[in-house]
Amino acid sequence: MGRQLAAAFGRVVVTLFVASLVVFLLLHASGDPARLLVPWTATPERVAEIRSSLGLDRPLYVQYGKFVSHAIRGDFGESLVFRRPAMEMVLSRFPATFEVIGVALGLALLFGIPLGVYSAHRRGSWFDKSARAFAAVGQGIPSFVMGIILIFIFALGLRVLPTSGRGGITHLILPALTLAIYVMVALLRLTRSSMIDVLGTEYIKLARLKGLRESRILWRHGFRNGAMPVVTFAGIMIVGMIGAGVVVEAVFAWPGVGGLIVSSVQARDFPVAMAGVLVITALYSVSAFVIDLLYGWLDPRIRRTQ
Amino acid sequence: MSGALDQAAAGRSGTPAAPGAGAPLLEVKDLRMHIFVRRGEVKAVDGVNFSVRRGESLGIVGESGSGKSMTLLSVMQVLPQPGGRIVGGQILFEGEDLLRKTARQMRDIRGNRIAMITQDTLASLNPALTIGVQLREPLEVHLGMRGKAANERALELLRHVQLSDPARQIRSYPHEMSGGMRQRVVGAIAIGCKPSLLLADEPTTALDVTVQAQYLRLLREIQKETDLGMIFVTHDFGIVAKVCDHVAVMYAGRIVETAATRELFDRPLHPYSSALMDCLPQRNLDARLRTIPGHPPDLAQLPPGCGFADRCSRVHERCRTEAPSLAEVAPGHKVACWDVEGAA
Ligand SMILES: Nc1ncnc2c1ncn2[C@@H]1O[C@H](COP(=O)(O)OP(=O)(O)O)[C@@H](O)[C@H]1O
Ligand code: SF4
Ligand SMILES: [Mg+2]
Repeated sequence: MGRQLAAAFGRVVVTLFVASLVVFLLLHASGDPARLLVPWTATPERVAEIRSSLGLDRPLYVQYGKFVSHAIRGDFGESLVFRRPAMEMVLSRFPATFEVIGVALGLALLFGIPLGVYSAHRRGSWFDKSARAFAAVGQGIPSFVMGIILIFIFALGLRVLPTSGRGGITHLILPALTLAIYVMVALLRLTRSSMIDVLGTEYIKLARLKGLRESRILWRHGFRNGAMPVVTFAGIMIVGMIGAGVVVEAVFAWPGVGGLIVSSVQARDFPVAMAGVLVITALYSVSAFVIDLLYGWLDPRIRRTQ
Repeated sequence: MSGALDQAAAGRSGTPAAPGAGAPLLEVKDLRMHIFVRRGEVKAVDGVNFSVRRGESLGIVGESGSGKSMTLLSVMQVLPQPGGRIVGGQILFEGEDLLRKTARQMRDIRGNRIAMITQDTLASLNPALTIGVQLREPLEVHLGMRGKAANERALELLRHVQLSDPARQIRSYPHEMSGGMRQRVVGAIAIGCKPSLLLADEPTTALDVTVQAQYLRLLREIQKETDLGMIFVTHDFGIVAKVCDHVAVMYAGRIVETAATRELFDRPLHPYSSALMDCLPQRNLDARLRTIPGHPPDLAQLPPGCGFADRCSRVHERCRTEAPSLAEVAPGHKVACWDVEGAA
């Protein structure tokens, strides 16, 4: 376990380094923040002055080196636009993001997996057919359309839920649902196909021949073996939903981290964009590590080689 | 022309008939199990009759695809899904018709009073669960054993199937064991609740010859100890000769001939039985492994007459229009063939 942790930590550091370098280069290739920080009437001298005060006139490797040496000490610079510490701005948005992602993922797992398992179990039945039709529809509708449909039904039509903003639990339902449907549907399909394979195996047949109850066969003998792709997808989706969440955040005016990163890239607010990317990369690495641990728990054949 | 095989058969028929006395343990009457698939109705089990008594073993032989596995799975009512359905017949076990049982009642019988070892034994252990968990499961479900008692019984079972170092093996996973060991574990799971009937579906095909012989000996011992009724499915007549009291020859979803092992070896009456026996390496001194020319019929499109007609050297007019049914031609010897005197 100690070695495993050390190796995982090493991977996180390397990943962070590579990701930050790539994003750094892309940001700098995308344009000059100084131009966006001054009125368009400003003189070239004024722009150059700003550029040099931000250190943007130095060679790229010097700028990146400075970024890394500060970042290691926990200093991610200040927002060029808001003059507030960049990391603080990013972290302040995370509670809102986690709230909606957490609820969405919970909903997706709670419904997607059992629907997938029972679809596979009752393959070809009306239950399976409706679940698959639901999946096809859910996957076909883009999230912003889904968001708008939900707003129309629940907020404008039935008037039971607010259209936008962050507040109590009622504000959370529509954005979480919008985000959840896509993941739920993907989990349903993934679980179903994985379980169809598993349910055709000899060990499931033996479990039946032992006289076990159907639920025990499906979950303890079946899902335990079919969970691998599902776990992988759910783990990736924790981070993937931050990206997918950008659209949902826009539709519901939800103050999440995805929107912050997008607007900071648009404004060439480099420190904020870099801080956001680093946090998301770190999250990604942590969830990859957790997925690895889960693999070992699910499949003892992997455990030995880990 | 025979040699070892016939001697083995003779040895088998030498066992006393005592255990066979009384009512049959299992009696299958006109059993039909069809699999409804897109291209039609596969008549995998098409009117099968046989019976097994306590302490007796019945061999079911036939080419691959003749419906042997489906017959056993029908008795257990664990059918291929979707599509498998029992469409007729009776399965009388200890006098009760299993086809009239509820799903719940059937669950209580499965793995408890009737156990089955499936064809692909090496794949039948769950890779994610320890041997101990898998062994204890039927004990917990059927016998209500828990904790230490269940564990003790599991260890005892592993010792019973002569697995070395049971205390260690009980905590290991299937992938940590050899094929022969896994086979023994599957055997141990099957006998865990002391069933009165054991169905074994080609339990030795995946094993090499020495391990195979050991495993057969083990099954025989277990059978003797517990007065177990056993059905042994195989495509190997050699195994039948070693293990079985009676044989049923299966072809295209039906039993075409059944007799005491010795009787069938001495006097195979059905052309398919003779053809199968001619394929045995022991019987064919030119040493080339022969197979029966032609293919079995498509079980979704069975011809109206005898299913063997296209491959039979003794075929005549009637065979193509009317299917022969199983008839007794000598005490205990039944054949379904128009060309056998006294049959059909
Ligand atoms: N799931 C299934 N769907 C359709 N046909 C099947 C299925 N399983 C088995 N069969 C058919 O049932 C017939 C009998 O199969 P089986 O009992 O496994 O043969 P055996 O055990 O004698 O080799 C075969 O023709 C096979 O093609
Ligand atoms: S019934 Fe006819 S075709 Fe069938 S085995 Fe007998 S002789 Fe051959
Ligand atoms: Mg088979």
